[in-house]
Amino acid sequence: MRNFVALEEKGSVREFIANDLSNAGLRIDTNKHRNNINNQPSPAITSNPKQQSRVFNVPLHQMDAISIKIDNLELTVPIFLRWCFDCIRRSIKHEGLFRKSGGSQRIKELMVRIEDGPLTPNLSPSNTVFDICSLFKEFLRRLTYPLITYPLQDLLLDCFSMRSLSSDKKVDIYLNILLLLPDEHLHALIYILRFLHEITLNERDNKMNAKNLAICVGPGIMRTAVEGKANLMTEQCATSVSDIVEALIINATKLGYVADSVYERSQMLLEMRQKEAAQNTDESFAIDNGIENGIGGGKINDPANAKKRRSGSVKEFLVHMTNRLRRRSGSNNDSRDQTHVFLDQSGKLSSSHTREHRYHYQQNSISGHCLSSSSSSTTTTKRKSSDDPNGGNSKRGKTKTTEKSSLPDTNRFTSPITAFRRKKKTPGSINDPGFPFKIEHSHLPQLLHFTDEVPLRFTNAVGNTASSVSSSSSSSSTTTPSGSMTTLAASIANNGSIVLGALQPSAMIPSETQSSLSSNAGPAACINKSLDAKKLNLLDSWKWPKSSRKAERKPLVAIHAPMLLTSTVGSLSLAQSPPSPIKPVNGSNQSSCQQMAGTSLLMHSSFGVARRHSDDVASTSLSTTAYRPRRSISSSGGQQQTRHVVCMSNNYSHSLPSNQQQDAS
Amino acid sequence: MASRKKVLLKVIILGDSGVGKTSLMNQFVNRKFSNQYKATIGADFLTKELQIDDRLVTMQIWDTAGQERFQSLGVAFYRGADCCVLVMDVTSPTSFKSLESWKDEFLIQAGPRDPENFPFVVIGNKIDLENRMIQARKAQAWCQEKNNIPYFETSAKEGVNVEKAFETVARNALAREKEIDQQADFPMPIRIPQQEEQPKKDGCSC
Repeated sequence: MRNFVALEEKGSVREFIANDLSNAGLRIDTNKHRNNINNQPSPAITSNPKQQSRVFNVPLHQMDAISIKIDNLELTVPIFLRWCFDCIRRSIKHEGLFRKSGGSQRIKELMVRIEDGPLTPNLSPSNTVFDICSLFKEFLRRLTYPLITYPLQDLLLDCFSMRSLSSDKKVDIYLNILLLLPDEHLHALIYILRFLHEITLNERDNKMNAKNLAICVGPGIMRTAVEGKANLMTEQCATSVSDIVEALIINATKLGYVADSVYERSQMLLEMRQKEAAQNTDESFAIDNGIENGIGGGKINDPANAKKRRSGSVKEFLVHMTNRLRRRSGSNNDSRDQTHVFLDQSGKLSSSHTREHRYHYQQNSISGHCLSSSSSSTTTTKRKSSDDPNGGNSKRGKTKTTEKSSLPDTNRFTSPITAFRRKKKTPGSINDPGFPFKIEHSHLPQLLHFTDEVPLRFTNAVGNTASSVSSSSSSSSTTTPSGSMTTLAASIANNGSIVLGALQPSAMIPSETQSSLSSNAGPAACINKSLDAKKLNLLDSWKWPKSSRKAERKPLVAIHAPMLLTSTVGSLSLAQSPPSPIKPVNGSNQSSCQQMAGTSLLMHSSFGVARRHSDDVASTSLSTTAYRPRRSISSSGGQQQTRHVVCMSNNYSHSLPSNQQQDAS
Repeated sequence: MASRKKVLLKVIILGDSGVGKTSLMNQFVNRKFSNQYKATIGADFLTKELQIDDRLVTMQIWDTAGQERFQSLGVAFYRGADCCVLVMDVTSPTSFKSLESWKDEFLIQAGPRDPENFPFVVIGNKIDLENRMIQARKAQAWCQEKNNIPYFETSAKEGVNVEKAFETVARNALAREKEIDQQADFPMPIRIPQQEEQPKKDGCSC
């Protein structure tokens, strides 16, 4: 766990968290509350503009603050809060702290004294500790913006109501959600929760356990706004709130830390962006602290920020990146792949094929970007590691661009199929066991069975996975055998290299991440019972490699994994398996490769269709949908896509022989 | 006859948090006292049947949360109450002081008919504790001031006086019920203009 509070660049981390949440079905709806927020100006400002409040009826960030160090967390909290807690701490053994109410008259007096005089007034003998507790609750109630901002409250409640999650998992998610808070709020919240935790340690005397405290303080921390009627609480909601806050109090010491996996991923993205920004000053590419503005501070910021935020999102980033790559490689007229099966405009398969067609296909496939690019970088990794002296002389000549780069292999944007072909044709790698994947033909019909109507099992699968959240903080090491597909999703998504590898130059992927690729993708040995495991059993057709040249094969997991996910393979057992399910197939290297690549693309697109059809259903696999460019969802019609997919599935097997022939020739 | 009718009395228990509202209710209904220290969320009710003189009454006792934040939840249950029990903690002067505001709050939110004579009962709880701060005399005086509200000192923990207090609650509520019933027995008559009955014809009229 990494100290989140101390991070200098929180934006990208928050972005990743938000993204993971979103993929788990927890979407941040900033619009929903924007009106609410704007309609709720600080009472202090509206009622009495001349008198400047200092503590009550003020936004948290406008208060006089003080720096406090707890453990290794450097917190900036309002002076008032520290004074409050210091007072309460002196009587921490009093029964009913925060439960029993203080004298309302004395509380009012104290409030006036704090506003007018010193922020930390001396208490009169008549003041009890309960006065201070009540004062604290009053403080929370009067904050201009609730301590946990409305959109995040929604997220917490959404997460709370997800039945498929274990409570441990939920807590992890809560803690992640809270990291999206604006800094002032996060700091104050950490401080408060830790103090409440401290109170529970004296439960024997003060009788206040986490549950009690949550009931008493929870409504202040989560000032839930029911739409339209602010501050109205239903009983159901009150119960949920107290349950959530209870969990937070119990786990107070974990708040403020971010899982290493999330941090690493975000750093990679950041690094990449910096390089990107350095190289492309011409391209307007607004990377601001998207999430910080858009979500955490979304309430505080004006709606004008909405657009800004979008431009900073990962999805947009990928769209942008992809477009750029396309443009580049488009101008790069050195390479041609003519013998491959791609969809052309009319939805037919064409065997002679130009780059444009290929890109057309990629555009059409909803998640094609992600996969294609991931496999391209994968291949590059392999090339480099095999240190092929002839690489530069290969027919396509593309290696030029590859070798050029300190600049990433992002210059090369190729379909997985192209990538595989290139690999195959590289001298010395014909028998490369790392290359082809073998899929039994008999499995194809099932896998490719997608019509305009989404097969029920797919929608189901999507729904299932959507409801089970894969928390970013629960790294793959925490995955349990009981976990379902999601565990795989989580483990893969947690591993930055799979996803990021899509656009990352291979050189930029830390070697340990690469090596962790295999281990992280591993522990997802699970059976999703809701699926017909037999029918969807893709994995059975995988043959594990016998060769020990792991280094070369590892990156291929990047291709396998999303495939497995999207095809919702029921029983898969990567845990005990070698990093990549690859088997050399002599002679038919290319065809099987195509098959694989084609299938994987297909899986993605069909998955996308499935998802389109079940609108509310959140995304399944983190790796596939997490970084799926938004544009591609909205731009191309679902119907058309579906037809393409179907077409491809029908013709796929027919096209194989011809390819093989071509290869042979 | 009204006395044969089964009567349901709705009783609301109000008071600061931690004064023992839930404990009182549990002691009265289940004759149990739990050492568990647990704040109430929202409101909850228990019922108990009582024999008052010759009448069998069912008391529906609503226990509310004392937390100020849950008061918005509570007010929904105030309506239709037949009696309101105000509870304070004799060891907590604050809880005594807030009786006034609880009473006012109730009358505003419940909006009963004839608020002047609405039956309240005040209970000073936790008399088993030693650090007593509110003397019985003081509380008694306050109650007399407020239209002679009956005052009881109880211990929910030891079950002292609880039964008696709630019996008074039931009696007062019943008395009010009668009054209202009597009013209801003679409502303003509605005059319906009598129409001349048409002479019956043989067969159908069409």
